[in-house]
Amino acid sequence: MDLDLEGKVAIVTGGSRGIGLAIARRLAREGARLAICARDPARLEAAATSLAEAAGTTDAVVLARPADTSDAAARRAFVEQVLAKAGRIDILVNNAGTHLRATVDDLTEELLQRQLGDKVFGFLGMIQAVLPQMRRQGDGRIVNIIGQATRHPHPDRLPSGIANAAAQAMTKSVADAVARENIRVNSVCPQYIETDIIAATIEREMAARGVDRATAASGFTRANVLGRLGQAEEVADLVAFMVSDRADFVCGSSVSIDGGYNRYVFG
Amino acid sequence: MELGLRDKVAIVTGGSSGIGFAVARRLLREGAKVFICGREPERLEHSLAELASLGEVQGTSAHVDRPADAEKLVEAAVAAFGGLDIVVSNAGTHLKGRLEELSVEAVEAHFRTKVLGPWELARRAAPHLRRRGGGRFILIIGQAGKVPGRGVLASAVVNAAQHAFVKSLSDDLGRDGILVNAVCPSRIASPLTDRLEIDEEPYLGRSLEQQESGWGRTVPLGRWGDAEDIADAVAFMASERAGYLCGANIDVDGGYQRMIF
Repeated sequence: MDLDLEGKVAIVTGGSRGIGLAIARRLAREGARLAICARDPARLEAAATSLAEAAGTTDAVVLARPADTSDAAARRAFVEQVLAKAGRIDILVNNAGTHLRATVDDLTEELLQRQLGDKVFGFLGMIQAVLPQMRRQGDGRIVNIIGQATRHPHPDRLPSGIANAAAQAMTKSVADAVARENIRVNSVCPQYIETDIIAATIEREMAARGVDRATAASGFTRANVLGRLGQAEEVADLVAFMVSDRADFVCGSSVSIDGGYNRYVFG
Repeated sequence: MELGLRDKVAIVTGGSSGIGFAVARRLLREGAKVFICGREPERLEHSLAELASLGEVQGTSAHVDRPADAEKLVEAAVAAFGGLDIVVSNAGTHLKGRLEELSVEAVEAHFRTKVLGPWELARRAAPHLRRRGGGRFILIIGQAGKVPGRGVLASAVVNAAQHAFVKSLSDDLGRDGILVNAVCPSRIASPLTDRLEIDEEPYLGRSLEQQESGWGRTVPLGRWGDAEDIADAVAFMASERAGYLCGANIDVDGGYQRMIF
């Protein structure tokens, strides 16, 4: 199916590894031109090289520049540079964000601020930064990557639970606000994707509980219907569909990609 | 994006018109072999003739609310193409009316068409999908399930049951590699909506500003979608690119439904 993404300019935040890199790579393969940001310069450079390889051309990478999307000035500077280099912005994938664990007993205000800084202020700030250009174009596609702590609050995922629910509310509200200008905002909701974050969590479980990898991982694999972790590429394929012309009536929708993990009848 | 649908065998119910026809056409264009059914033999023949140039397509007339028809449909598709990989359960209708206009019998018939029909279809299809090592079952669910309203009582209740069916069935079949998901259309121009009187309640659940601006009269995107929009979402969900979607649904409704997740 032709996604008609050839020549589209796409920003992927947190695009240097994991889900973000897989999304950037898929979009590059579909002919999009990528602007990625992340916090670690070395990883970012490696990611840019891999994107050019995936697309078969260095033209596929408009910009790869370190930026922390929880920082308003960094967001503005990044978007300005993308515009200066590419002249347009068709797609924004808000992916950058850490998953912070804490319970009601140990959650500090600072930690919650950090979580909100990534996933709420960071996402919203990026949207505000690209909107003027998307409005000028009369076309824009925005996808927010929001983990399933929204649909599954959990005592030790308090910061994510709060931030993700807020990000979902933001997604729907902004989708309503800009839809008439032909800018589509949606969310893609992954859970238990085999990334560095999951690997680190499994290692922590192994150390904390003194169990082997399979036992530690079974806590994840048992928790979804398919009995396996998902791959970052699978999330990337869904995102590519959502930002494509093939989804141009999909607006304000929140799509789960979690192997059946969530327990929502309407989700 | 390569969907990996080449030579996959798909059943599309209600495939002779509207959304079902568009789904069949899209799957054929992606290289799948498609078996459609519809209620009216004449229209079915006409649609088959129209689709023939796109690939391998066959069909039969069937009423999905009759259990025997579901069995015959599945067996005919398997006989025609040697197996089954994808089922798109699209046949359905909309039952409009306020409480006193809706007899229990009418609601029961509606439930039979939209829940028990797909149920029997899934029951008959599952052994064949398992034989292929897995497959896809996709239900098309109108947005009355997520957006209740006056005069859509029957559809709201039955469509909500369809959502519960999809999620439960996805749990039931997921470990067999059969992924069950839904696509939820609204405001899609089709033969069904030609006769549909839209919403006497454009103000319900809308803010003062939205009411005054007329925003509430139609969807946030400000336009209607077409059957192709649904077909593209179905093709994605049916594809090998959607292997981790299980018990999920995609709204293809221009922003109409009001849930935040």
